[in-house]
Amino acid sequence: MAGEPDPDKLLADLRDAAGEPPLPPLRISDPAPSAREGISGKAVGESRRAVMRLITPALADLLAQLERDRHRTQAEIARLEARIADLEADSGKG
Amino acid sequence: MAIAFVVQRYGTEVAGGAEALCRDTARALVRAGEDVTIYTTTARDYLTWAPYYPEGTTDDDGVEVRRFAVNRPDPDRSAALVRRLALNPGDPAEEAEWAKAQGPVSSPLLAALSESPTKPADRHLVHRQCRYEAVACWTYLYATSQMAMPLIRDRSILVPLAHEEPMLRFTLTRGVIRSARAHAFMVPEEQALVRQMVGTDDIPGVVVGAGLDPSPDGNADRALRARPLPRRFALYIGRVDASKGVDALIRAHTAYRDAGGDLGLVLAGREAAGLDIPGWVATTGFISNEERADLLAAADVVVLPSPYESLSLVALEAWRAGRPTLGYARSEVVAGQTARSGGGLLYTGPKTYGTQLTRLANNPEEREAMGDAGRAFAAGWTWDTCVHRWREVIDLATRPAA
Repeated sequence: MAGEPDPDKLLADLRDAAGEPPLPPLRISDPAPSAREGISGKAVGESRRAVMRLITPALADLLAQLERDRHRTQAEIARLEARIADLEADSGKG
Repeated sequence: MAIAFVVQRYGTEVAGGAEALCRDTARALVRAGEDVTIYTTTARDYLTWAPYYPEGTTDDDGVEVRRFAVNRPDPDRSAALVRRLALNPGDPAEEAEWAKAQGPVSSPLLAALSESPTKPADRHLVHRQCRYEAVACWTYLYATSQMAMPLIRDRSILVPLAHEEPMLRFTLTRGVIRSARAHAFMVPEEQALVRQMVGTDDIPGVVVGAGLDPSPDGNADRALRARPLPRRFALYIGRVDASKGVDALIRAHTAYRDAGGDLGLVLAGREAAGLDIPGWVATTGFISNEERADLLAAADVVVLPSPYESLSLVALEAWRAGRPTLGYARSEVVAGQTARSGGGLLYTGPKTYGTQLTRLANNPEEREAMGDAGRAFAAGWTWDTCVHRWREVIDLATRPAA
């Protein structure tokens, strides 16, 4: 790499290296805006966002646990599938 | 063998488990005859990265330390972005903005690490860098590792120090972890976490662990004379902070006391602001190594309430002192270490905390047996073993690709 490294280029390199995740990440979207118009609609939207900000740390913690459980379960399924394949191969030999 | 470590902060004045592990490992490798250079920043504080140490090269008991200035971060923006990305990870622009806002971004450090053979002024740096057989980045979490990793991929080791946390789900994190030629983990549970969450079966890894430094002999009487403490108590050592599970620990211990439990609770460590500590809980503030050893000698049980750990050194210290532990089972690392050592029990919430603490408080023989098992387990955590495993991981990182 010639010259001083460009932080944006380095971060883009990381995105390229990331590839696909083992499972699609769980997401919780931003709260939907209120269907009401005017001041009341704005107030409802603000309230929803405020509630979301308040509960974000707890939600993020729960999401992290859920993700851990999903990936652990997936790894266990893969392990069991490999074991079944081994057993089937062995029984085929017999 | 010449190795470089890249780490966000480095020094005796730096409070941080990852940084202390990095420093202890570097010094252990140097004692074992290796040549270690640290690439780090001038910062001591992990939010502002304000300059504390002078720029330039110093020596730390044979470890060469090269410190570089840091661009100004934006901690408020970083906090806002991480809140958003915790629920909705994967937006490339937001993740990149988070990395730069959190920092520490050090352009001169990156320049020193980069290969720029066409730039005459950097020739000596290129020469220096080329002599490193491997470059290890400590923790996946900070810009020093995030931005260094693409520069050193061909001989890179990542020490993720990962635990279950939102940032582990970021695309950018997956890029850092997958860029490494080899991984160095602290415990098998961390290795499993990274493999399963990021998908790294094709990247070799070694559980390098750490060593325990010699500790002064503890004296229980001295601890009880030094400050007003309960006659019998459960001991917590570490930052007194809600993020370490201390608020939940206080709630669980309150329920235990209300049900007639005998043991008091002692919190030993710096107190973070905003935690409501009842008057019946004894606190010590910051403690020296001698006070730590004395408190361990005086405690009946050492409690480990943190749900997030990549290695529990406090558990190892407790076991070395022959004290049983009571750990929060939500932490896979604590649960794994406890299961392998036989040095303690686990709890899953306030109810089981009370049950298990009562069991330990009322059974001196069981406490002693767990203490003995823990002591035997902790004896295996030596720097000699750790250095041997580091040589394995360096070999994996530098081995030509098949």
